[in-house]
Amino acid sequence: MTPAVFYALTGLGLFVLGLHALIVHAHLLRKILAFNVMGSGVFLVLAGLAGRTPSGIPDPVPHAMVITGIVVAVAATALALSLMLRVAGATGSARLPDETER
Amino acid sequence: MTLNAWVPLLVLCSSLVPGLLIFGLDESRVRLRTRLNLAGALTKLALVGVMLWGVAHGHTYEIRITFLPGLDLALRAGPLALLFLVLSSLLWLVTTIYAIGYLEGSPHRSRFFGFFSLCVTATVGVAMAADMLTFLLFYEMLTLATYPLVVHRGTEVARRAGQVYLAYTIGGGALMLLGIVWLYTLTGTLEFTPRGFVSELDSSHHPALILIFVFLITGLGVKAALIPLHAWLPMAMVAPAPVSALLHAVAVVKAGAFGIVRVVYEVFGVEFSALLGVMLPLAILAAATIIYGSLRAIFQDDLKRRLAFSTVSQVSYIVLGVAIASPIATVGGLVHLVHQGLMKITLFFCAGNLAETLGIHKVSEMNGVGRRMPWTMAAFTVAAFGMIGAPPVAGFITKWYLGLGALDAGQHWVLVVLAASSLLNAAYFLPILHAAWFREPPATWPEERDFGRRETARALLWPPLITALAAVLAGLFAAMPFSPLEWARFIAEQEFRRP
Amino acid sequence: MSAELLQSAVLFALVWPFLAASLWAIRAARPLAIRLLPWSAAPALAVALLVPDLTLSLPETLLGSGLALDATGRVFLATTALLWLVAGTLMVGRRPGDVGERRSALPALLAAGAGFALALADDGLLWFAAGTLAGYAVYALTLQVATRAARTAGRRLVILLVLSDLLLFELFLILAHAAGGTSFADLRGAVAALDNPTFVLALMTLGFGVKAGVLGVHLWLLPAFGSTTPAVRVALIAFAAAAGLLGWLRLLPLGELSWTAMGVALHWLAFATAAYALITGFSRSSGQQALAGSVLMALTAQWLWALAAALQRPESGAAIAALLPMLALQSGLALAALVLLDDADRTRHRVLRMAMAWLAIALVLLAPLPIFAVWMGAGPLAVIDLSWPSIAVALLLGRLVAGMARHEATASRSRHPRSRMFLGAYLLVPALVGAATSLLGYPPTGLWSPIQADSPPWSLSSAVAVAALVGALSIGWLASLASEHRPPRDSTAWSPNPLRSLHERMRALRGQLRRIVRIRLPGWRDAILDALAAAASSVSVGALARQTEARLMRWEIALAMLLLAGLAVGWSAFGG
Repeated sequence: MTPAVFYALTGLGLFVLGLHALIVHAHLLRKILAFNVMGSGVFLVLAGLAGRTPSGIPDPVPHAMVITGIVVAVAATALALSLMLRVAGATGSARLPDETER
Repeated sequence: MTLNAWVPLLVLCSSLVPGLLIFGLDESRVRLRTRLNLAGALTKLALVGVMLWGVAHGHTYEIRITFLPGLDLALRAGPLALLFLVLSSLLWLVTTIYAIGYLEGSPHRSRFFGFFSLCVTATVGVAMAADMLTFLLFYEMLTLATYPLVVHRGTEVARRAGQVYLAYTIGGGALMLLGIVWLYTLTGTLEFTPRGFVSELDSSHHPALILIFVFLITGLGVKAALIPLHAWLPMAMVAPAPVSALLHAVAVVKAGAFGIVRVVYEVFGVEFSALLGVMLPLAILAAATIIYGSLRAIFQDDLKRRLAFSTVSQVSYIVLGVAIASPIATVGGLVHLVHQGLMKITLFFCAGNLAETLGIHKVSEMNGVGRRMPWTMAAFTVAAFGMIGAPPVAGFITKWYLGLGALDAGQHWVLVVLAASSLLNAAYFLPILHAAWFREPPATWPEERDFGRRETARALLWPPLITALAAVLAGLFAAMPFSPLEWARFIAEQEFRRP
Repeated sequence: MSAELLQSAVLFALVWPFLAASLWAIRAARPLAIRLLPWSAAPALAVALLVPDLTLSLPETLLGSGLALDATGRVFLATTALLWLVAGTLMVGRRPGDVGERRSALPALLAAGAGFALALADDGLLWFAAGTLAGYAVYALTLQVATRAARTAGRRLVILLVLSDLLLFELFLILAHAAGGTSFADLRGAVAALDNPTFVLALMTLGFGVKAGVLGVHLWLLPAFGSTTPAVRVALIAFAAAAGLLGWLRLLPLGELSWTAMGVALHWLAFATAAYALITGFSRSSGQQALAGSVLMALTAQWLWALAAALQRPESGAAIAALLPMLALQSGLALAALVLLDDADRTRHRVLRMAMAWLAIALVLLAPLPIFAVWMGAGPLAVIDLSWPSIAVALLLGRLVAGMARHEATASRSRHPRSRMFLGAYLLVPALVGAATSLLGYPPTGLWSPIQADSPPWSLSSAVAVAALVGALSIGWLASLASEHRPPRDSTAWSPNPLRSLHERMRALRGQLRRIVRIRLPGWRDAILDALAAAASSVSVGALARQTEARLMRWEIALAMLLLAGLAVGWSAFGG
C-alpha cells in the first residue's frame, strides 16, 4: 500500500467517524464539529489521491481544490455557528427540537 | 451577442426581475405587486411567442456562458424546450391571476409572490437548458425556490412537509450530480443532442452507463413522483392551492418528467436505451406507479390528497410513453405533458375554489356543491372526464396514442395497464361527480364566504374555466396544425432515426 | 342545391342542440333553452328526410374524422330525431317553472345532440365520443327523479357505462392499429381481415350490449325503465338504438364475413337474452313500465339473431344489413308509441287508445318479416325455430296490451294525458310509413332518388311466421289476462299447478341471487377494500424508520456499519 492510498483510507475513516458523530449527537455545536471532521476527511482523500501519479510528483489541481475547500469550510462554519447562536437565542438551547412523531 | 441570443436571457429575467423587486415591496403595495406580476407574466408570454414564431421560421435562440474550461452554461430554445415553455408561461399567467384572488388578505404576500416568480424562472431555465449541467443548476434552483412556498403557511404540518420535501429532493439532486459527473468523465460532453450522444462508447462501458442511467432516473424520479420516491407529493398538498396547482401539478413534477424525457431522448437516445435494456424496467416502474397512485387515490377523503395521488399516477403516463420505445408512444408521452398540465391545474383550481369559498376540504363534504357552485363543478367535471379518458377531452388523445404505441411496439401488457388505470380513475372521480351533482346539499357549508350574486370571486372563477376549455379544445381539435398533438409529433420525428 | 349548402345543413343539424345547450350558460336565456328543447331535433329530422347522401370530412376534429349521411345513418337519424321530438315535448311540459324539468333540459339537449352525432358519424372515434357523451347525459336524465329505484338504476348504468367505454376503447384501438386509420370504412376492413375474431367480437358484443341490453350487461335497463318518466323512457329507446344497435351495423361488414362459429355463439346469446326478457317480463313483480324494458331486451335479442343469421350465411348479409335499420326504426317508434299510450289516461278515448295500441303491436311484430323473407329455403319449421326471439317479443307484447286493457283506475301521473295519445299517434305514422317502405321494397335513400328495389320474396315460410307470431301474441295476452283473474294466492294451500311451482321456485332462486348480490357481494367488496386500505396504511415508512433509527443509535453498531461502508467504497475505488 503506497502512502497515498494510506492517506486516502485514513481520510475515508475520518469521514465515516464524522458522519457517525453527526447522526448521533443532538447538540448543534457537536454537529458542526462533526461536519468539520468530515470535511477534513474529504480533504485528506483529495490530497492523498493527488499523490497517485506515475512520475511521483503530486498533481497540483487537487491541492488547489483542497485549499479552496478549506476557505469555503471556514466561511460555512462561521455561518453555521451564527445560525446556532440564533437558534440558541430563539429557543433557549442549542439543540434541534426532538421529533416525537413523523 | 446577437439579438437572438438575448431572448432566452430576457425570458429568464422577465420573471426573475419582478420576483426580486417584489421581495423588497411592502405588504400594503398591493396594486404595484399585482402590476409587476402581470407585467412579468405577459412579457414572458410575448417573448415565448416571439421565440415560437422564430423557431417555426428557422431562427435559433441560444446563449452560452463559459463556466469552466470545456463546460458552458447554455440556454437554447428548441422544439422540445418550447413545448414546456409555452405550457409553463401560459399556466403561469393563469395561476398568477388565480393566486392574486386566492391570497386576498393573507399575510406574507410579497414573500409568496417573490418566491413564486423565482420558481417560474427556474422552471423556464429547466425548459431551455441545453446541457445537463445547466439543467441541474436550474433543477436545484427549483427545489430551493419551492421550499418556501410549501412552508408558506408556517404551521407545524407545513414545516414537516417542507422537511420531507427537502430530504427527498436534495437527496435526488445529489444522485443526479453523481450521475452527471460520471457521465462527463466518460463522454467529455453534456450537450443535449437529438438521438443522444452516448451511443458511440464501446460496450465495455455499458454497465457503467446503466448505473448512470439509474442514478439520473432516480434523481429525476423524485420530482416526477415515481414510486417509491413519491411520498413528498401528498404531504406537500398543505401548501396554498395556487402552489399546489402550478408547482406540484405542473412545474415541479413536469420538470422531473421533462428531465426524464431529455435523458432518454437527448442523452442516451431511445434506441440505445433499448439496447442497454433499461427501457423495460422503466416501463414496469411507470406502470406500477400508475396503478399504485390510482389505488391510493381511491382511499383518500381529503380532496387535494386525492388529486395528489392522481398526479403521481398521471405523470407516469409520460414516463410510460417514453419507456415504450415506439414513435407513436413517444408522441403520447410528450403530448401528455401539455394535456395533463391543463387538466390537473383545472382540478386544483376547482379544489382551491371549494376550499376558499365554502371551506370544503374533503370529498365527503362535497354533497350537492354542484348547485351552489355550478361553474366550478362544470370545469371539474370536464377535467375529471379527461382524466378518466373520455373523449373528446384531451386525456383521451394521450391514452389513444399510448395504446397505439404499445400495440406498435408489441407490448400488449400496457393496454391492460391503461384499461386498469381508466377504471381506477373512474372509481375515484365518478363518486365525486355524483355527490356534487346529484346529492342534496347540507344545510350549511363549513365556512361560507359571500360573494353576492356570483358563485365566487372572478379571479378564482375564470382560470379553471379557461384551462378546462383549453383541455377540451386540445382534445376536440387535436388534428389541427397548431395543436399540442401536432407539435409532439414534430418533436418525436426528430428523436427517432429516420429509416 | 350546392354541395356546401347541404354539408352546412348537416353540420347545423348536428350542432344545433349543442348551441341550444350553450344558451344555458347565460342565466337569462335559460327559459329560451328549455323552450328550444323540443325543436332541437327539427333540423336533424329535416336533414334525414330531405338531404341526399353525402359525406363531410372534418379533418381537424379529434384525429381527423368525418360525418356521413348514408342509408343506415339516415334511418337512425330519423329514428333518433323523431324520438327526441317526442321526448323533448314531453319534458318541457306546459309549466316551464317546474324545477325538475328545468334541470333536465341541459342533459336532454346534450343527449339529443350526441344521439344525432352517433347517427351521422363516419369515424370510429367521433362515434365513440358521442356515445360516451350520450351515456353520461342519459345517466343525468335517469337521476332527475330522486327515488331510490332511480338511484339504483343510475348507479348500475354508470358502472356499466365505464365498463363499456373501456371495452370499446380497446376495441377501437385494436382495429385502428390493424387498419391504420379510424374511419368506419377502414375499421370494417380490419374486421373483415381478422383471422381470429373471437376476442374482437366479444369486445363488440359486450361494449355495445351494455347500451342495447344484451344479457350479461343488461343490469341497468329494467330498473331504468321502471323508475323514470315516460319522456326519459323514450329517450332511453333512442339511446339504445343509436349507441347500441348502430354499433354492430357500423363495424361489421355483413356481406363479407363468414364466421359460422361466431354466428352460432351470437345465436345462443340472443336465445339467452330473449329467455331472460321473457322471465322478467312475466314475473309477477315487474310493473307495466319495466315490461317495456323487457320488450326492448327482446328486440335486442331479435337484432342479435338477425346478425347471427347474417354471419352464418354471408350471401344474405348485404340484404340483412340493408333491412336492419328499418327494423330499428319501426320497432323503436312503435315501442315508444306503446310506452306513451300505456301512460295515457285510461278512462278517456278507450277505444281509440286500444286501437292504436294494437296497431303499434302489429307494427312491431311485422317489422322482422322482410328479414325472415330473406332466409329462403329454410322451410317453415326451421323459420319458426330461428325466429323465436320475435315470438318472445310477441308474448311480451301480449302481456303489455293486456295490462293496458285493464280498466282499473291506476291514476296516471301525467299532467297532459291527451298529448300522450297525440304524440303516440304522431309516432305511429312514421312507423307505418317505415313499415310500408320496407315491406314494399323501397330502400330509404331519401326523397330525392327513390329506387324501386325488388320486392321481398314472400312464401309459405313468411305466412307460417306470421301465424306463429299472432299465435304467440294471443298466448301472451291470454296468459296475462288469466293471471289477473286468478284468485289471490293462499300461501298455505298446496298448489298442484306445476307452472306456478316453477314460478315460485324461480322467484325463490331470484330472491337468493338478489341476497347474494345485495348483501354478500358488497360484504366481500367491503372486506377486500378494508384489507387493501389496512395494507396501504400500514406500509408506514415512518414506523420502519423509527425502528431502524433506534437500532442505529447504539454507537457500536452505527460505527461498525459506517466503517464497513467506508471500507467498501474505498476498496471499490482503489481495487476496482
